[in-house]
Amino acid sequence: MTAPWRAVKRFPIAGMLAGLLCVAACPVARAADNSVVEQRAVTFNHAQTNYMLHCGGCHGTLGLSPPHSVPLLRGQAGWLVCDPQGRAYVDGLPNVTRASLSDADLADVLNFVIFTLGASPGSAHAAPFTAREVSAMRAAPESTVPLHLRRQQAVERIIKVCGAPKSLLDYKPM
Amino acid sequence: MKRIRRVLCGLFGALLPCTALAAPPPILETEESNTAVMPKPNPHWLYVGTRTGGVTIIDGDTAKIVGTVNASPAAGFALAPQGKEYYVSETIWTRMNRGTRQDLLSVYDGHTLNLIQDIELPGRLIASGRTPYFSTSADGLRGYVYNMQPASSIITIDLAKRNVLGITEIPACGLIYPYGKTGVATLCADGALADVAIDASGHGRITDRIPFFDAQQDPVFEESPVDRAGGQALFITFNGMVHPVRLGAPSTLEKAWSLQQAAGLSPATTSPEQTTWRPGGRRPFAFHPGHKRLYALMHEGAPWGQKRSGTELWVLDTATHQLVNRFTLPTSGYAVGVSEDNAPLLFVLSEDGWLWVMDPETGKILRSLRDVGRTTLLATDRS
Amino acid sequence: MAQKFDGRLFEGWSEKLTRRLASGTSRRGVLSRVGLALAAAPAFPLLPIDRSRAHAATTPRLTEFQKNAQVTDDTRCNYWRYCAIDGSLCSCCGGGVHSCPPGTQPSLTSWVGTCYNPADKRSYLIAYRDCCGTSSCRQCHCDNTDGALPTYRPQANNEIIWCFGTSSMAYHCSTAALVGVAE
Repeated sequence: MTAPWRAVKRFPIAGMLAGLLCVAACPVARAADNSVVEQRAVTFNHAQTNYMLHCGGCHGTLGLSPPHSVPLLRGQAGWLVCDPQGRAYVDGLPNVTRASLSDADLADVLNFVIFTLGASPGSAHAAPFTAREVSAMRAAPESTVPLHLRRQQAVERIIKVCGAPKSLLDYKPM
Repeated sequence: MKRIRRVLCGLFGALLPCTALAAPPPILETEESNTAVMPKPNPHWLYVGTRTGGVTIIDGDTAKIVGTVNASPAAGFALAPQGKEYYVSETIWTRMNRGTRQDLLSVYDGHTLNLIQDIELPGRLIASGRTPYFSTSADGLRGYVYNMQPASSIITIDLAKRNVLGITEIPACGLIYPYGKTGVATLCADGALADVAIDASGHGRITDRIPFFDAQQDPVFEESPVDRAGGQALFITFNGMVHPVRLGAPSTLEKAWSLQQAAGLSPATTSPEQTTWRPGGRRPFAFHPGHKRLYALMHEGAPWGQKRSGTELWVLDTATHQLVNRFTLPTSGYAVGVSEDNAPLLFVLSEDGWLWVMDPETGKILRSLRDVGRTTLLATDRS
Repeated sequence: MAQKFDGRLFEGWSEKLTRRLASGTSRRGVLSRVGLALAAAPAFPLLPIDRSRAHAATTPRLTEFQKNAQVTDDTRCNYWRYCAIDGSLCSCCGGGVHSCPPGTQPSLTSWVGTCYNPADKRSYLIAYRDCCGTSSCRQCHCDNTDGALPTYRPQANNEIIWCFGTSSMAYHCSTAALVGVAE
């Protein structure tokens, strides 16, 4: 059972509404139905688009991922910037620093992930990322400490220092 | 013989009286079923993995199958020098498609093709087998399995002791190109080649990075050919730019050249309007380092035809960057291989299961075999 | 697409089946809980499309796939949304272009590409999401490669397993869900 259907089970009225929606959107697909959907497609801004193209596959287009395999971003990523050590971990993520995006575009994606998608009490008082910080991140020599060890240390610290949820430890890739 | 009999008596003693085994058989049959063993391997052997699983070993001198190594679909395959052992990296589940996942490196005896040992792996990428998902060092002592879960790492295996040495993280990079005794290179998402230093314990890290291609617009093929013994790599882009790299620590980039220019044409671009000859296929390239020959499956088309089969096979001189020959293929080629000996044979496999054994000098079809299956992997051995 | 009707159909299926098999049985429960907890926090507000900004004014240079793409039949490989799909089409399997067939589960991980719709001349973000959990459907096998990149660019690779985190691991078919329009 996937998450939305679990939700439907919890909220029967929502379930009935979903059923009504299904009459329009869920029958055997015909291209005509598809074009109706296309006309009311969601529009993404630059940061959201870049999130989709560069991060959304593994981390989920909604920021929901299998947390054991892929760190969960939604409602959780923001905790990482509650503390300088956590932020340094974000700054040193190779998949972030080497993304084929300009410094300004990458700063926008980071801000979207940390402060919107991953917004949490931990990100409430943190400063946004700037193109200047991204440029410095990219110029810094890469840490010789293995990435997963770095994450574990950063997460253990923010759990202790900021009171971040223990679910941050769900990610156990190796 | 006596010992066998004793063992059998021990095993079946409860069911059969031992005298039954000792006595001459009461019924004789004209032919007894037995199992053949592999002939001595020769450099013209070709190893073909197909989508249904299994790795078929074909002797190019006869175009006949000499044996099959068991392998799940989406397995990786490598061979020890002189075909002493064959290695299959694969993933199976205790209940076929569910249950406990098991990632294995299975070691098969090259003479009998019997399983010697399963080495348990801490993971591996499950995707239809490509050469840089699983490979060995040039001397065959180390195996490397690419893992993506989806974090990216290299699992190093001691093939002599048959155990896993360790895991090396390669964040933002993927694939494995081993060379020499211990060298490993990988490719990165930002269009760089990275040198990976892996120590005797199997642990290591990326040491050097050489950016040289546009991973978004004109990436290099995963199946770019590498001479593991000599450390010469030819990373070739979708457009057909050949980037020779001398692998080492650090690796060095040599002058790039264009497949199309070698044939007197303009270099290919990413422009959707430009229809020209482009490389493509499942495994579009083969390289004979001794003869400095690159073989490329080519088709006429627009960009993003990187998996399209080749209607022609181009022969290129990697020293002079000149086209030597263009062969028209009887059926479009999906994968190409060349034996690495001094009297090489050329192998072309098509999507509809034909194997063409060709003379690399003239392009003449020497032999053929049909119903080989849709190729995923192709390997040859220098021994 | 004659190949899907001959004997090799099974080969393609079994390859897909195994390469889509991924561990993750035990993760489902966690994920469902997380999904529920976060369902109330929309990070992608539903914005209506600003018609004045539609890109219809200039005709872009089209790829070979885009030139041949059609918008009427989502059971064929040249349907516009399938510009980089690799696998069986769920539209041929009792599902739809974004619906998984009965008994199967959409994968949470996927890869996201961009496809051009010739009818309204706009590019859309498409999530190639697999349906997992039941023996393969085997119908309508396609392998399109517009913008598909090698494994070292996993976010644009159509050969990798994108079944991480589903309860069963059998590959059934592939969908092309419309994620949205890039601004």
